[in-house]
Amino acid sequence: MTTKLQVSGLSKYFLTRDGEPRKVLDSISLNIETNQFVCIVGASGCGKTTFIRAIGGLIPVEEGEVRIDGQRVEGPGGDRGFVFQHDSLLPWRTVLDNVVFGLEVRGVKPAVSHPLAESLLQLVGLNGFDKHYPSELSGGMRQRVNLARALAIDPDVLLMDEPFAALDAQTREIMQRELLKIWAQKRKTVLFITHQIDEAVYLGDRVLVFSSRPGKVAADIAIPFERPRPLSLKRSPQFLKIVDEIWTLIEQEVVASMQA
Amino acid sequence: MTQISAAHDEAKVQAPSPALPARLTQAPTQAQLTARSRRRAILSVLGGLALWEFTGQFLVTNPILFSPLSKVLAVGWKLLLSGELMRHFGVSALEFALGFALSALVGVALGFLMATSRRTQDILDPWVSFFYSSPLVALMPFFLLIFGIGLASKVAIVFVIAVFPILLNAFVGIRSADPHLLEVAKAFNCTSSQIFTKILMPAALPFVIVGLRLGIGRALTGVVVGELFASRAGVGYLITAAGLSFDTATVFLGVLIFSLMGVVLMEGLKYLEHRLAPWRKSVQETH
Ligand SMILES: Nc1ncnc2c1ncn2[C@@H]1O[C@H](COP(=O)(O)OP(=O)(O)O)[C@@H](O)[C@H]1O
Ligand SMILES: [Mg+2]
Repeated sequence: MTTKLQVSGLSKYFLTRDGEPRKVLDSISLNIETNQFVCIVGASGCGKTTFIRAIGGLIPVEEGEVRIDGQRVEGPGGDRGFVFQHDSLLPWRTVLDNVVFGLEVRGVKPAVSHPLAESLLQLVGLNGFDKHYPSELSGGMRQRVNLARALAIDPDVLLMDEPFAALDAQTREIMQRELLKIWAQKRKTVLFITHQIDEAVYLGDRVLVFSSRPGKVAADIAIPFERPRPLSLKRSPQFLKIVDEIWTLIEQEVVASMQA
Repeated sequence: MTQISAAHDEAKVQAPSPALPARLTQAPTQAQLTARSRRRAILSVLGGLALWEFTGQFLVTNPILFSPLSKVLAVGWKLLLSGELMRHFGVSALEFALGFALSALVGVALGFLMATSRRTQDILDPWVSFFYSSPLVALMPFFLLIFGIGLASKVAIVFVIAVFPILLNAFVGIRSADPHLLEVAKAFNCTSSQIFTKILMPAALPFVIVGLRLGIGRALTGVVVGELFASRAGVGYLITAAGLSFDTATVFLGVLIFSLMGVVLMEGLKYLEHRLAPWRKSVQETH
């Protein structure tokens, strides 16, 4: 197995309102192998979004570095595709035009990008919706479009920041299963952030547990389940045991950070 | 049992099923509601026109104080045949078109510039705040002195009073672009000109349309004010001249022409918005 993503000694500070620097990420180091599905869980505000934005090159970091295939990350790049937490489709673009956005920006001609986008829409189960506007879609459908848009630039690494957080429980489960199906087909390295432990355990090869204030990796847990994973796995005792284990870790973290 | 009735319903999905609750089948459809609204609007307009005619014919019969619709239309017809009407209308329309086009161009361009350049904003902001709230029609005598009685002074007054709401709305439009979408643009490695054309401009479009709508109203006022002050032609001139000779029918005709211009321009802008921003229509329809 080769290393795809290498994070070493990464620290990030934000200035407080008084202009004081506050450490949000504390010298995080980790390696992620090619095509690995890694989930990050942690209490709200522990720095998960900051971490994934740093890896995406959307914000500068004060200490440490991120390398992809050994190349130091200096900014956003086509080797990483983002799926955001919030509703991030462009409301004035149709579904198809949203999916081709990343390609259009790089000057790919519609003759090339449109057929590709059509096939991706098929992959995420949205064929026939290419002329719709985002406002006409349900939350689940919008996140499918978001995923297709990220996949369109064919990145090596998919960065997903709580993409299913806004969805209802049933839709979320379906989306989890579909995401695994797509991942099995497309073979990407995935960094997936969630605050739902069962989601992390169901999806990931590995679950990183973040602790708060400042954010760092408190635990790195290998998930042993075979793939493909049926949704019924979530009801199995072994699954619930791992979820419980992680919950205990986070619970301690939350209590600890509240006392600090 | 349930299976059978499901298949049964499916077969006649076209016709309203008698099994549906009566309240549902009797509820008017969206198209029926729209048609009903339109019928009411037309009736309201016709009623208003009838009232106008009735008042002029029977209630206020003094021709200096009031003029019925039929007489206004007759005067209009006469002026149309003599070519007078088109001459005056042409003058006013040209003043409006030039002044409004200039204010739209300058307003949108400066608004966008202010919203994207901190320095421009700092420099222009006090002036925009000052002029936006000033009663700029008072500048008309000054424009007459500088530009004379002809076209230029009218274009100047139209421009000056229409440009600020357009500028301000364009500015606010760019500023209100969703920061999440700007992050998306960054994540996809957009250049700053791509961010401008693909994110900021479409985000600002609805605001720009609002600014143009306000601008149209103000520009029409500008034409009227400009021509009432001093002019040799134009619908405003027609109104002034008629007023001085107690010709109330022609005064009403002039006001009617300005009002119709306003209505037509607003409708044109609505059409433009539908064409340029179809996603907004779909927002309204889905909610
Ligand atoms: N741009 C910013 N400026 C200042 N503080 C920030 C900024 N972004 C995030 N923070 C702070 O950093 C901490 C981590 O935030 P975030 O990464 O969004 O957490 P999470 O995604 O885990 O909920 C929070 O306390 C938040 O208030
Ligand atoms: Mg977050």
